Amino acid sequence: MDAIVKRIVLKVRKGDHNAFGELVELYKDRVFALTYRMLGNRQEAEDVAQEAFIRAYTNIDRYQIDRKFSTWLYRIATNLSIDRMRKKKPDYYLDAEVSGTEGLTMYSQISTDEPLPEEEVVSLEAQEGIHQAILSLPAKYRSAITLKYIQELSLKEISEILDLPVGTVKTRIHRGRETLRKKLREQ
Amino acid sequence: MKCPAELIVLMHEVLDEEATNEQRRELFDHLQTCDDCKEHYEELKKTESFLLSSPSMKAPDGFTSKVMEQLPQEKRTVWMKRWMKSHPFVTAAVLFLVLMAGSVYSSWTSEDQLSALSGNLRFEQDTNTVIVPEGEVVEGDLTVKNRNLEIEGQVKGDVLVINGEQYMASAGQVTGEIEEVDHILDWTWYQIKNLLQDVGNLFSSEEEKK
Repeated sequence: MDAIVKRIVLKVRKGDHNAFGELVELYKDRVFALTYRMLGNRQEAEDVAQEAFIRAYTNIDRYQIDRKFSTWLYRIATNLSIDRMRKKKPDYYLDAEVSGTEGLTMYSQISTDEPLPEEEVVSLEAQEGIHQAILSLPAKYRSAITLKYIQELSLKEISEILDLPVGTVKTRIHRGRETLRKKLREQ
Repeated sequence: MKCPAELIVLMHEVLDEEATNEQRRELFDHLQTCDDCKEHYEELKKTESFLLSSPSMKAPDGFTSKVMEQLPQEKRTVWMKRWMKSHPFVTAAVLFLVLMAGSVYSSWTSEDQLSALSGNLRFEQDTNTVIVPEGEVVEGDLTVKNRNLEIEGQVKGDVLVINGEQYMASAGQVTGEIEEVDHILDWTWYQIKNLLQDVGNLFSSEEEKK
């Protein structure tokens, strides 16, 4: 995988437009998942994900070929998402307060052992619940939690993406997890 | 019972799989004796499983093409290289025509010349005419370029007049073919004919060798 990606990157560096399309195909879902979890809105997530790829294309010469391409790309996408969040902070909190799970607690939904009649609906609600919970986190916890659980990256990779020491990443994940625990308890 | 904050940190270390076996044992021993901590840890586990079970996301349809449309224009050379790779025959044909046209054109415009293997020729400046005088015999082919040609004597070979006119006096005699080339198209055609003839000769001479 890494070798293939490197070969494509070298083609892009020589100015090959179409080779970049292959990179987009390889990473679009993961980048979109990242921006969607960070921004909580499909349209905005798509805009930012596209912007991330365009930035990657125009800055491809700055990418260090011996590093992991995904780390570099996620870093661009994370920073753009955080920038976007800062710009539209007020909307954001409003967003986070909208919850489709009023009167339902996450625990009662999921922890019951007996099968639920409307299983699909419930799991959608559960997903919505966790999505809203992530969105209510402050940006610094949200990025760490998203990278760890949505992208399933190692602490070391997360520290490279966020340009923070591993210790700080750990602390952010711990606090983020703690906050989510409380949110889910309230729901 | 109030538990120390270190226990919470320990829980997270265990969740991150950063804890040593000894630390794990320490935590789990404690959880057996403390319900508050046990509940806390289980809530964290549930939070984590929620996070991990969130559905995988797909980028919207047409995502790649939308990105590609927004990219700055690529360098022209790359575009040409790719086009050439996908159309090798057209590329070869175009290359051939360009080189051919170049050589034909340069030989067309090259300086005036006259070639004959033997014989004395006269040149009249004012009419710009090369004359094969009466009684004169030219052995071999005669080529005149950018001049007129008047034949009063004899040519034992082909006559080629490029960009000029040729007059044959009644007494004149040419044993080979007489050819007049006046236009660049004729000239091109003549060059191609020669080329094909050379190629043909090449093959026939190879056959002879066999």
